[in-house]
Amino acid sequence: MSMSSSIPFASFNQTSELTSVPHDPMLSLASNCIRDYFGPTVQLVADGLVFRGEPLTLQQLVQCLRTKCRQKVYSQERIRLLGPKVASRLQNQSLQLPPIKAALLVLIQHSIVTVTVKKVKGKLQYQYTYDRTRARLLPRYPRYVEYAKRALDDNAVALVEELLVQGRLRTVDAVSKTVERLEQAAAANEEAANEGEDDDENKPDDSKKKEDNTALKQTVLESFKKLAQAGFLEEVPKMKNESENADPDAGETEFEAKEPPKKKQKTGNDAADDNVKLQEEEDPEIVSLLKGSAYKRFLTRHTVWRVNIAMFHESLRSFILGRLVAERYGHKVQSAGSMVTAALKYLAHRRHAEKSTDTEMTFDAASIQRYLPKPVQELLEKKRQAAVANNTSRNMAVVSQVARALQQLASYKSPICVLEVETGAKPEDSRFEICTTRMVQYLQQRITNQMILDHHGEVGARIVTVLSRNGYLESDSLAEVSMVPAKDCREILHRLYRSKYIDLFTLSQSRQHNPSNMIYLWTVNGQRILKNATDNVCTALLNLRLRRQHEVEVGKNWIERAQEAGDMDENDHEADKQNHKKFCLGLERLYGSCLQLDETLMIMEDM
Amino acid sequence: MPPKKRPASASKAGAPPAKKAKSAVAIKIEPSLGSPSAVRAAKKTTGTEKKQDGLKERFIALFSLEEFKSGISNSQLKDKMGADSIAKLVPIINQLTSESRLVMSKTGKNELFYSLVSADVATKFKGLDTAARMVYQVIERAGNMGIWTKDIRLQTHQNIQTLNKIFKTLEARRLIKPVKSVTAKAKKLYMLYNLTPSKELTGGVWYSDLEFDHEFISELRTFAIHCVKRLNQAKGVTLTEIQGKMIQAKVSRIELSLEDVQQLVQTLVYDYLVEEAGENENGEVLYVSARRVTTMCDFKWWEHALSNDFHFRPIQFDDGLELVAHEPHYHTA
Repeated sequence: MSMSSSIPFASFNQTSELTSVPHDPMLSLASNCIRDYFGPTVQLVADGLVFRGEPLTLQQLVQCLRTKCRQKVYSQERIRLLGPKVASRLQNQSLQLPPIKAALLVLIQHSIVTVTVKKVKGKLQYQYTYDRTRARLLPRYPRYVEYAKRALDDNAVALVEELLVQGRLRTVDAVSKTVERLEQAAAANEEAANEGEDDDENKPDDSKKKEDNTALKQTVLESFKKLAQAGFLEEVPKMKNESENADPDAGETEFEAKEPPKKKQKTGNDAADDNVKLQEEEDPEIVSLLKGSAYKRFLTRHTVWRVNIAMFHESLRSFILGRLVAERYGHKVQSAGSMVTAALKYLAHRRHAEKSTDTEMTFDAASIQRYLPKPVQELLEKKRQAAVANNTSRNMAVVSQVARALQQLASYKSPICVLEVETGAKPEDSRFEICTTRMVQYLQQRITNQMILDHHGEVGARIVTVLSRNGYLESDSLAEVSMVPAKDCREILHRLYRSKYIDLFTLSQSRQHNPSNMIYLWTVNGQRILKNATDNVCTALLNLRLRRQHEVEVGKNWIERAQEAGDMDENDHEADKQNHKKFCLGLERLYGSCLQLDETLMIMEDM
Repeated sequence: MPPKKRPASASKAGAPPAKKAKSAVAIKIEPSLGSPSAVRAAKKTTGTEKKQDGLKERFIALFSLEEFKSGISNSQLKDKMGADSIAKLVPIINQLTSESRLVMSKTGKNELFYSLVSADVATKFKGLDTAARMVYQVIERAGNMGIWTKDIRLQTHQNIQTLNKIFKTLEARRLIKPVKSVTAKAKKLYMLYNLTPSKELTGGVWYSDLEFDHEFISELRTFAIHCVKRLNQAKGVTLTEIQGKMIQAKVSRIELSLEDVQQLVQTLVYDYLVEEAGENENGEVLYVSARRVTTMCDFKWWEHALSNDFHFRPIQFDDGLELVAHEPHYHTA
């Protein structure tokens, strides 16, 4: 059986009718991520929201989709093969109201679409706005889980994972689903460990199971509280309740017309919520635990939670920038990287956990002390003790050491990482500010340089650096400064120009257009080169994802057969084994490359 | 009867005047025609010539003065020689010019300027016709940038065969020489024999035999990085120190100026291999080895990933792994 006849109508289709053409790589990437995770209908609805470029109501969205996505004309051959009933059902299915509503709900659930309520001509209007940045972050969820694993505990990891998969959950649902997941994982591990043994002997009794279950719920709740207090989880903002502005002539009521009434998600710490009857699916044990004094203040029953992506990004950024400082200045200022990381973590905590609206993000040495890693604190403490033992007059308290280190860091300019905004009488009284923007810009510049180095070679990267520092140059002068032959320089310049990394500026020496009389100057525009580099990353990432999806789809049968096969039947042929191994390795390479590119995109766009 | 001989002094109308003898030997005058005035005129001519020679020597001696070594303008000549002698200098100037011993040009104030050419140089110009002199002047004007054959032809309006003969003549007399440019190796440039071609033509120290010497530059860059890392316990080196080390180690076959070393080190700065780290007490910039920065850009195969037909390409990885289209499954059963 050949591959082509097994799936007669299948084609590798990765766009919807409304996918942006000519494409903005970032939009195309976001669209592809949505299709990969949620399917083609959700992709179509998302593309419909992008297509108009403005917030839309449901009515406007449906109208747009029905107008732009014309019904496909099915051939007679297809109708004959599928049968007329199936063919007509398929023809009309994608543009019915229920699937569009369901797709919209999925997008809202995962915070890819935000809802705003407006009053237009006395009527309430719900408008849906697409957040393409959020859609693009879907493949980054494993990175957040990995960070949670490093920074917190296993329960927190499971909780974060559950919330990312579900999009948003109420407190009780989040805890119960996490407990379920952990129990399944534990059972799977136990089964693997006890394989071959007599199961009856090791099977725990029901009371033991119930005890473990309760203990697990408590630990999960504890982790939940820590995550919420640290700012890694956030409450979903409450959507305006329609009944608050009851108006008989109120406009569309979104999801109720001719549909069975659906549960509306309520948010907030309303004490009246406690009196609401227990719903069937809620775990009474978790509900009673939530009523306890330990959690009552932080975790209310009907609060809807989601992962605070911004906090994860800030935490990741603190590590990345800390590493940059350590690499640049670590040999001059001991533990410089750790201090900057601690400062950024403190500021992130203030912003997300304490919800500080203070725009001035300054700090002193004392406030970041508790965020320093233990080894660094121990090292500073040892120094203090040594100073005391040697009877030195200098104040070697830990805070003082940190302040002096920050003051020293403030003197370095390439890149600027710390600014001393207020000088106190003593170093520990000084206030500092982390120059996050400058450091991120420096890192982005280095990344762009690395990209050009890998794409166009050492000379190409050097030429771009020369132009970015020296402004406008002719090709001969550029060749001299870069120490390359003039002919090679011209060739590289044209390749860089084609890749849109550099710009050409022409100066005419006469009123008539005369190319032989013109002066051609090359230059680099900082913003443009960064935008193009980011677009290139998005394009490369999109291409890799598509290639991987295509490979998986084409090789689906092969993979399934290899998974179902025993030791004897399939893949017995040596060539097949080798090919299957190569195929899997290739897919792994593609996936690894996607992760690398996503990491680069995180610095270029999301920091 | 044979016609009577006409007296020697009589001349036919329209006939060119006979050349006067340069020597001081008196012209034989027939007694019948000799008169005291004629004798007096002859004596006077000999005296004039002596005066001319004296004037000529005075004129030539002017150019040996320090202030007039490069030449003398017309106004300066008037001052030195006196207004009366200027008119008498005209034939001397003409004579010297015809012997190629004197070169005339114009100053910025539109005044004549005279430059004396040494005798040995003048002999090189001896016998050259106007066309050759014109070609020489055109080449001289180009200076050390040289001039293409085509441009000479356009300016002198000579045909190519004539020009080639002139070039051969001038080359044989060591007045001009052909050079090649790094920007156009196939074309011939001409310049004066004693001039050094400019850097734009030769390419400078980084070119040898009109070819860019990549290996030489690479060696120098490696040596410079080595100096930066090892000298002064890696606390910083100046350009002077690097230059000194290069001379000491005899890395370069030609002497590199400080500007050349700076140009070299600057490329290392642009490549993020070396960076500036302040100045020393003499105000010289210190260079240190650049610290490695993790760029978080480990993806390398941009050329493939950004191409429009990426989806249809077989992908070949560095370790030999190739991702091709799915092969049909081999059925064993």
